[in-house]
Amino acid sequence: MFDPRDTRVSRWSGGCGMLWLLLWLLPAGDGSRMVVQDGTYKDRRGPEEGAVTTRPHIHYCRSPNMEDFSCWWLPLDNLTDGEQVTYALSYSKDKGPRHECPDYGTAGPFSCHFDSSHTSIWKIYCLNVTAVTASGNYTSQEHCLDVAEIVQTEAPVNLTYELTDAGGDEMGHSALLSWTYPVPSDLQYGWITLVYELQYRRATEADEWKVKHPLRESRVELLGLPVGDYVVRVRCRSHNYGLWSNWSAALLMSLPTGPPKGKVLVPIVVTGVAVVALLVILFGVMPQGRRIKDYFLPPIPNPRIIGIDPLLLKKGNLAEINHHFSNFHSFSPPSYSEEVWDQVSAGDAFLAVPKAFCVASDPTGREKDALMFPCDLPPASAAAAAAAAAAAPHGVAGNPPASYVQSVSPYCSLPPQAFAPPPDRSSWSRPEIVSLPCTEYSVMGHPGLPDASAASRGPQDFYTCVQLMKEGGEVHLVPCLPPAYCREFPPPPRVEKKEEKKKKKKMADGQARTNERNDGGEEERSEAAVPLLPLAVKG
Amino acid sequence: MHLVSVIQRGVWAVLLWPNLLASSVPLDCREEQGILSRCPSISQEKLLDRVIEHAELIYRVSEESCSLYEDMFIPLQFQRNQVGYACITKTLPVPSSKNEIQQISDKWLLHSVLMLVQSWIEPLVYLQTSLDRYNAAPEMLLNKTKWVSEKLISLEQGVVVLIKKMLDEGMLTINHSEQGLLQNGVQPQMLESVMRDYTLLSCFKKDAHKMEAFLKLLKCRQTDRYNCS
Repeated sequence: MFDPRDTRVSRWSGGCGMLWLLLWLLPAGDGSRMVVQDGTYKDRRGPEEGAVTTRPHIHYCRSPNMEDFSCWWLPLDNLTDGEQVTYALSYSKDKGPRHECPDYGTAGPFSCHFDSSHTSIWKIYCLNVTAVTASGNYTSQEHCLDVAEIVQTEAPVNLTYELTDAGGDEMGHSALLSWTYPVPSDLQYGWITLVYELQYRRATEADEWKVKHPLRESRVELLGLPVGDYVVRVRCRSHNYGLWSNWSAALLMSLPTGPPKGKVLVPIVVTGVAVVALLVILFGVMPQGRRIKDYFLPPIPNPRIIGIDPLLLKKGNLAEINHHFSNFHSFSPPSYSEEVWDQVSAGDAFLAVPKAFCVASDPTGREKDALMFPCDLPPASAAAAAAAAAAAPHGVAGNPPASYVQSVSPYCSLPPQAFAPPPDRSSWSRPEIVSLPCTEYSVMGHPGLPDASAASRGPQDFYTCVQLMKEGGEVHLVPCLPPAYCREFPPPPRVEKKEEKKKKKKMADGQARTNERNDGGEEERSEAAVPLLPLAVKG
Repeated sequence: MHLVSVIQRGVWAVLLWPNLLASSVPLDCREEQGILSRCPSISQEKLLDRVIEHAELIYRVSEESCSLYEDMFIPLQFQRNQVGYACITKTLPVPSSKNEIQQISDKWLLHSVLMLVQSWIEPLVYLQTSLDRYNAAPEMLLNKTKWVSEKLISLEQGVVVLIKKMLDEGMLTINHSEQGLLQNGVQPQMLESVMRDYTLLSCFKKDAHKMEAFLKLLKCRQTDRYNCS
């Protein structure tokens, strides 16, 4: 007889055991679903991985652009040699009817490719593949996918870098990294919009990647990187669907030591120039400081009148002062000796019909300017004189004394005055070439001038007149002699008449000019101080 | 004893029901961390999002095509203004004013979208052939219009699936009875092919915008019924 309590206990214990079994199985039941999920996810490792399978297994499906996709499966392993196997993949969309794979070959062996006409992003595909062998059919597990979820874009290519100077306050370099997407037609019309992620690290520090994410453009600039070697890689993804692409090929980027050449050169040049300048200043300029200062900033001279030394006026002796002042035009030092006056009759003095004029220094006290002094010469030679005076003066020093002709012209109407003998009067007695003051003519002094008229010789001694003009353009100069000698000598031959009219016209003009000048000069003279001519005076 | 066995079986059943159901195909998807479980169809939210994106893209590309066409073939402003009155889809019972749209139900929104989409498939094909006959049509314009007509077909499929899902309606047959729309709608004074094509393009642009707007409104209503415009 059974003890009812024993059976109850045993049943209960059996029941409890089963309960524990159940409880233990529960997570496994959920886990099977999890396994399925992991299977669809983990299996996207790559088609190359092999595994031991008793039945085929769809392990990898991928869509590169959300318009078509492919799936790969792993073939059977436990085949006996020589056994023929064919695979057939079938799929259904959203519980619809099953269809066969439309394209077995495009994506390689053990694959199925769905082109755009067979791809729908609105429905879920569930696939399985069957291995048909002689020994039986082996069907894989059902594999379901959503096309948008398996989108994995291509890895970027052509990753390149360009170094630039960091600029600004940054030390080191900036690197501009750029890459391209290999299939740009996918990105047309915005069907796929990519977002990128870039990672870089120093070549020496493995696994310490710095991340730049998200990047919307296929280029990025890394600023102020310190010197060294770097490894860079980039990947991309459709911005709202799918998975990250594979990493692009890693790029080795090496930043050279030191700043770029241009940056080093400028400070060196500037420093060099500054040092050289400093040395020059120290050793070259400072000793010569005063001279340089004078060169650049000449001392402002004290106001002076040329020729008048105030000190001289204060304490110089009279002879010196006279000497200085005699260099002025029309200065006559006061003579303290008795004046000798010559008797001059009215007939002797010729009224000036100025036919020619000479430029001379006039030592009369009344006139201080250089005076255009009319010389009464015969018209021809007067005209010649006018022409010559207008032309560049030539030195006629070469005239031999033999051809020297005395001037016939009576000298000019100048009120005779007694003068203190000019200091260079003695030079007149000698036949030497004299350069007269304020003229550029040099003339042979005549030896035979009598000394008797020396006293009465006045300003005429300083003048020279053109006696005649030779054909070559040379002018013949003679000193303007006092009237005493005018009558002794015959008048010079007359020049041809055909030039007369022209020259007369010139003379008239010259005369008019002279008159004007004289008038103007007189006005001027009557006024205040007349500026001294800075002519070189030979004393 | 009998009771215990019944209890045991009951407990078994209770504890094992998920496994029992695991082999059968569940009606709805459950997503865990974005990973797809073994379910036969895409979730409604995802579908709607994708349809909206699709419609946005179609509208954008059609807008680009229209402005390309305008720049090339319609230089004068007054010509551009003429097209507003001749859209072929005027005859469709599609809501057009804001008031109507707000009052319409979700079901009718979806159906309007579907009607619009279906009514444009044929005319776009016609437009494509017409543009091919041009001498000076740029390559880009042709490519764009071709792309748009392809994607429109895809959009139609999507909307159909969405309707099935949202409204639990049976499989809608693709209704192409609107084929005659094109012939009915052609205005006699617009026989010139350039103006006719331009009319088509700009009307399609407007309708694409409408589709996008309806779908976005639908989406908005899913999340927050009373705050949508």
